[in-house]
Amino acid sequence: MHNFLIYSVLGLSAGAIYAVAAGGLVLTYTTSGIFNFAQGAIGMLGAFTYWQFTYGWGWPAPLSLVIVLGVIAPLFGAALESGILRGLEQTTEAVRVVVTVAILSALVGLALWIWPPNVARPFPAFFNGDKFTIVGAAVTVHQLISMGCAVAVAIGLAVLLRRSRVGTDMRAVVDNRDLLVIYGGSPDRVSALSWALGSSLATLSGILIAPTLQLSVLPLTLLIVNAYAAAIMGRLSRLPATFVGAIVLGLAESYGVGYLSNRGDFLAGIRPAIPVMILFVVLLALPHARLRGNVGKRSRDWFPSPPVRRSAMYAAAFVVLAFVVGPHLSVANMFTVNRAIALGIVALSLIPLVGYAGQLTLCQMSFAGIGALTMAYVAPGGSPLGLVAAFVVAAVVGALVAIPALRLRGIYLALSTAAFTIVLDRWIFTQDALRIFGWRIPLFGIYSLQVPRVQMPGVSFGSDRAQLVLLSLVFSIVALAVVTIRRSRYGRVLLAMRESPAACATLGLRLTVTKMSVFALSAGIAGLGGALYGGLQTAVPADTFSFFQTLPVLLLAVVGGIGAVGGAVAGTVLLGLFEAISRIWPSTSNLIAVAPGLAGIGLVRNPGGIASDLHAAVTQFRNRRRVSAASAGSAGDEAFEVPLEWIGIDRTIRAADIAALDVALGRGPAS
Amino acid sequence: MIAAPDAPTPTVPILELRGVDAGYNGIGAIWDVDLAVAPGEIFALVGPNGAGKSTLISVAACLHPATSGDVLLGGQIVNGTAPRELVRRGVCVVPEGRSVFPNLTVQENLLLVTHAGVSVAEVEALAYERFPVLGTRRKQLAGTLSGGEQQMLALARSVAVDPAVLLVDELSMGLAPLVVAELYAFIAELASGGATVILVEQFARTVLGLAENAAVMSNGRIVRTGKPADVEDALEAAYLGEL
Repeated sequence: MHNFLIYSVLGLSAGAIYAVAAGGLVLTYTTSGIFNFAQGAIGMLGAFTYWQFTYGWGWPAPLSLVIVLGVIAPLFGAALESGILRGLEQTTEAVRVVVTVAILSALVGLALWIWPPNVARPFPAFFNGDKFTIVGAAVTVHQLISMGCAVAVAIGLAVLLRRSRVGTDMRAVVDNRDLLVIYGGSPDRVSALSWALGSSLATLSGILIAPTLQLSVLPLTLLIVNAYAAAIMGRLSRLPATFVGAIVLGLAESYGVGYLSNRGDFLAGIRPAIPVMILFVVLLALPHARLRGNVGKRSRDWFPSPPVRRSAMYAAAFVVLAFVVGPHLSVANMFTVNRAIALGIVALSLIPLVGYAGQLTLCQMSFAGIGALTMAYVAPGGSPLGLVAAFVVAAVVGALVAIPALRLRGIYLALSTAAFTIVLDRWIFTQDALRIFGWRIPLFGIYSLQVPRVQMPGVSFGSDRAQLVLLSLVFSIVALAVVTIRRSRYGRVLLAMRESPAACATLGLRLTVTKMSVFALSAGIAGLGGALYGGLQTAVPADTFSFFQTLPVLLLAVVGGIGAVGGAVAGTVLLGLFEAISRIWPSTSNLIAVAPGLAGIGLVRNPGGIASDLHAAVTQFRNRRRVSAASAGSAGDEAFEVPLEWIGIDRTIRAADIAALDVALGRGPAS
Repeated sequence: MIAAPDAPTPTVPILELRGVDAGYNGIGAIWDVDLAVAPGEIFALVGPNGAGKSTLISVAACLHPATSGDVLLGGQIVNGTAPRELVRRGVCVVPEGRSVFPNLTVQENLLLVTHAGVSVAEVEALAYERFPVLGTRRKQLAGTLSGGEQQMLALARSVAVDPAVLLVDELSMGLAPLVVAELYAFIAELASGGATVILVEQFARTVLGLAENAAVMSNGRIVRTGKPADVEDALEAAYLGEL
């Protein structure tokens, strides 16, 4: 009973902190429609800043609290909103999520840069952890402060949103931003204000939790998953339910730790997985998302349909290049190139799923990890059948993960995949082995797992150079497959599903089957990539396939251009370049760690990614040449993209149609 | 063009457009629009679908920039002024469709009217007095009101602003005839109290019966202005695509 009380107090104070963070999350989501994946990272940065002021420079705690919570955090939030997030209008939800994930990634990189992790930074609790006893349980002043903050935030937010005009403005912005302008309000100011507040709340939660978690970047950033779970319980809009959810979570986690961590078995390591599993269950219990039609807005994203023959030529050229260049690469360069190509296969897996079908995922590296595990288990000798098994097993797991996706959309889906990946990398992957029905499937464990390289009868892919040829071959085949999908009926169904699930349903398309299959396909490709990536590294530690490893792959694929295979290629090149630069000039490594995040933030300007820029430049160049050749009919029947915002169409249309349109508009024949 | 500088109108037009061009992403939508609306009158802007009426309204309220030409409010050039400034000066736009915040209550919708610089008590008192049905629904979400009630809520904004320049786009859209009649009665009452009302309608008959002056738009230009009786033939031609 005494233990129960202690666990309850711990749980309540943790829940209170989650409540503060979740309150900020709900506030920014309801007032801007953007789910802030970076909320935890902002809290982490805030906690570090506070540490810097109070312990680094020795300012009095109250003064640094006022400066950090009252000045720096709000300014940071407002700057984030007006500098980055405001540009997200007319982008798909995938891009919105990716941009906040990019912010997360950039902030993590930045924090590791400013505060190198190899220095100990003691972060004592407020009032040195003084405690007193209530009904037999010791309660620290810090815990009381945490609970007090939660209550104050709960009341404050309720009053703000329900009683004040500013709060009403905040809710009105989500309802109809343009109409608020007509009423004489200023939506920009309102959004900046709500992000300022959200940022302050994140920082407050970061400062409150830091003494328990210690001041370290990744745990503080991931802490926000608990707040996500709480916010989801409030369905991202109801503050009371969010606060209750946060308390439930805090208690569940505390009891879980208290009663399970002494066990010697599989459940002992469950602690970090508890909130995530609750999040998963809550997501499953959410009501079915309503089928929505297209909101009628043109998105700025880019989905070209490249000719198969040309793609095949590029693919063949790539393999030949790999074969020719291979012998001239140094060992280190070779490894960098190989690594980039292997991760490039994982990036390719994102294109049908995130690009074509518009289904978000944050767990691609987990599928890669499952692929690597399968390879190690099925084909310890390196049989190519291991690759097939890696594809199949990852695809099956992908289909299972897709089950919540069948019902959820957008951020809920992204969150459930994030939950999945965090359960895997914080609990399952670090275990020694998985025992099912007497089978023992080895896992990565705390050290690493041996993953074999592919061996074929007569051909060994053991050497690094052979790996380069193998990887480029597989990359090319997968790339061609993805191009073929884009041009097939299946590809059109995926795009149609992204554009308007409601229209697809009315046409009699089977959305369930389509979603499951594209998830499975994508997971399978990622599994294949993971098996090869594992073989490349040979000894693979568990964190190779963690949530934080998924981020750069996802970010760079989207930065490259998630709508096209060319995007994955561009992303792969970036990945390789970044790594090469940080290896050749070690002093840039911190900058390189921030780079994928910064690049992701750049998506605000061009959601189509690098590939769409390149394509536009090439098209422009080609058209100019065509005009100078003065051959009127040379436009031919080749498809190219024309922005037609003014009639609300964003489709690939034929040159002949453009000519007809131009004539109709009295602009004369097409040039 | 009405109310040319030498016309025998003693008063300064409350709202005036001079040679206004506007468009979207470089594609023109209205060209060379001249329009003058006298204080206190009901002015009808009619024309077929796609004529540029809604664009004209947006430009007049500074919600959308004119590519050339001037917008004048009470004789002062206001192009490029922030919309919130015009709201303070009494310009009240009711855009096409249901222009209320569906997830806010009636009361909260009215609270937002205070951006125009009036007190919330005043807004609520005037709105509930004129539309008693709104008073019975103050705690209800605006999105759950009937179409007519939503339009009342949207119009209620104008009662608190005095003197108002009310620009109403497609008031009758999707509403039952009886409701439309009630809303127009309100508009007439508002105008008799000194407000200026510009009504945009695709279905022209109703508004032409109510208005003192009218303009017919077709293909992005004003093709005729004058008394309602005088624009009828132009209206017919515009709808039949002859202008």
